Amino acid sequence: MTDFVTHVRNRISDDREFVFVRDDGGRNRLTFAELDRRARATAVWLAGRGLTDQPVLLLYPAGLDFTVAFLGCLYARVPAIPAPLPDAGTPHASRVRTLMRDAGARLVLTDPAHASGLSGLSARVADAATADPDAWTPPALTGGTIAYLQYTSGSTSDPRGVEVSHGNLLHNLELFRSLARERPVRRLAGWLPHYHDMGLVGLQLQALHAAADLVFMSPAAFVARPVRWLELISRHGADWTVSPDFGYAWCTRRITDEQLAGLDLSTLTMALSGAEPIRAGTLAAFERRFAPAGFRPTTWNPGYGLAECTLMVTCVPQGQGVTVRRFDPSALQRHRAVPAPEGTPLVACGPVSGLDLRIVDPGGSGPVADGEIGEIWVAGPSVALGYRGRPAETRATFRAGDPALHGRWLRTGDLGFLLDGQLYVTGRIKDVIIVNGRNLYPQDLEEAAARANPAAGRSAAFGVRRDDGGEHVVLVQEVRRGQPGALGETAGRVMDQVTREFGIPLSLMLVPRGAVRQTTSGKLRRRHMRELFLSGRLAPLHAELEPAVNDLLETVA
Amino acid sequence: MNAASEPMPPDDLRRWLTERVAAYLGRPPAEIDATVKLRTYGLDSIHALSLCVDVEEAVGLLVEPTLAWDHPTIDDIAAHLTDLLSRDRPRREPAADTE
Repeated sequence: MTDFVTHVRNRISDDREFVFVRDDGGRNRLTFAELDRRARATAVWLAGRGLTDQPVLLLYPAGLDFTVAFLGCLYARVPAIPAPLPDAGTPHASRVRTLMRDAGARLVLTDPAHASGLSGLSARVADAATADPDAWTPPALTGGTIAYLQYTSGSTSDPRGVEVSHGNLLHNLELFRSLARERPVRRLAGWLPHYHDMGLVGLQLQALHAAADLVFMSPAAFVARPVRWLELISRHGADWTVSPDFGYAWCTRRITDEQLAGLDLSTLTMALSGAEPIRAGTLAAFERRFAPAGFRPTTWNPGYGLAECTLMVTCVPQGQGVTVRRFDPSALQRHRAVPAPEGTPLVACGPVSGLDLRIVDPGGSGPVADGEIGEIWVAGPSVALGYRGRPAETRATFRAGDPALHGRWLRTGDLGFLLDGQLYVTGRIKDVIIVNGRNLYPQDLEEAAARANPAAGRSAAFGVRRDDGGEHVVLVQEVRRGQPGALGETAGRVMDQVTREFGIPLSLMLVPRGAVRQTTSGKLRRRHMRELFLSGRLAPLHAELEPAVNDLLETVA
Repeated sequence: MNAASEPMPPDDLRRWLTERVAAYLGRPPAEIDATVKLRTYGLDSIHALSLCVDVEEAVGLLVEPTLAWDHPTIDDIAAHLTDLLSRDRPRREPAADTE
């Protein structure tokens, strides 16, 4: 079998269900059989509008309506595009239009509660009640058919949609299945958004693929009261959950002794951590805090992945436990992993299994030896088809390597090394910055900074990573000599704007004209700026650094 | 931290806010200056939202999710909450007597 629809439909039953726990604590449930029936009705509705092979944007709040719509798209051979619901009256609405243009999507689907708010986008509610699910006929699907487009790459003004095929999806979910070894997942619990690759594939689609129950809640409910996530696990006896590092850290920090007393995490056999750098300190603190609730250290499954490879590249399998090793920090900077007892702790992200992986010298001299740091390249059936409508970018990213072998390698843009059969991730070449599991693009931050200070020259944004893996955003902005107003006020304006718009803390350096470097073709040299910043070679006119970033500069100096 | 049977005095409110913010950031409360903008300490949108949840549960006030951006220091937030509490007070006074 080569397509996801056939796979899922072979496993439909009445005793498996999706349970969405609403923010008010109430529960919405659909059995797999009912999900399938509604998805067929949606597919009939879509096909009746001639939408076969036409991408459709799905703007849904967290909940079961999304699952039905997504599955309905797959049943109708309509490439689904999951995206976040834009907040009313924010610049995010223009993001939706840019995204639709890029994907060539003409239809937006949403739920009845949001249709009027999205009327500017002519959003429709799939009126599946009027469609007959029994009128559905399965479309011709192959492993190469596009299942959905994942828009987590690229800036707001220049989004890139990863085309994930049915074959990609089945292969990656098979990797998930093999992680569980002889104890297949029975009940998943989580809160990750469905438009995030880890929420979509790691929760929703994994549950459908493995015929497991899924119990889930909204990301907003998790952020407000993280104990609710662990209560989901406790009350439903979940055996598998997924989250970025920050989710685990947030639980450790926020959950009170009183709340802890009511938790039972002993049913959990798999706790995946991925989608952002994994901090050894987060795992250790969570273990200590939640051991009294029955959490076992062998439950951890640190992993590495990206949407361009559907989701997972490597992950520690069930029961193997965490490997944390320490490496000499100065050797790491010289791109070599040299074990050192008091060095920087790094969390191993699992063995290479089911995909080909190699570490390649970013300078172009080919693969490097174990223990040497280079760019992570991946090949195999999970590697997605490419970026929608962007042949040049697709060639550059997805078709690397020997052209005689049809350039089968995906360049991940991430840096790492292999040691004793496990992958360690150390940094990245690409410009994206990851904070709280969310991808931020420097272009978007620079553009916001320019809006706050229109008299400024060039800006460059980049991420800096602490030893413990936490990532911080730094922005360097040029100011004109004689620019009106005190520098402190200017800095305050820029920081207020960026903090408010993106919800992240910012470290800012105001520098003289000409200090932000470009290539001769006018391309910003963000990585170079990052090196200058970290080595203390930028001479700021004014600096406002987060304490953590300040600490980082002091350790380097 | 029972939900505001009696409005917190401004000094207690300031101390409580400092403790909450310090806990989100994982820093000692002594390092948080009530007159310094919270974004300086690395407060992000997740911390900001949690502050609203904690204010709702411990102080008994519903506040805008933009609280920490509209009132960027602990002193500003404390002043804003004190103002809201004093406006609330006439309705609450009978209940406050029961404790």
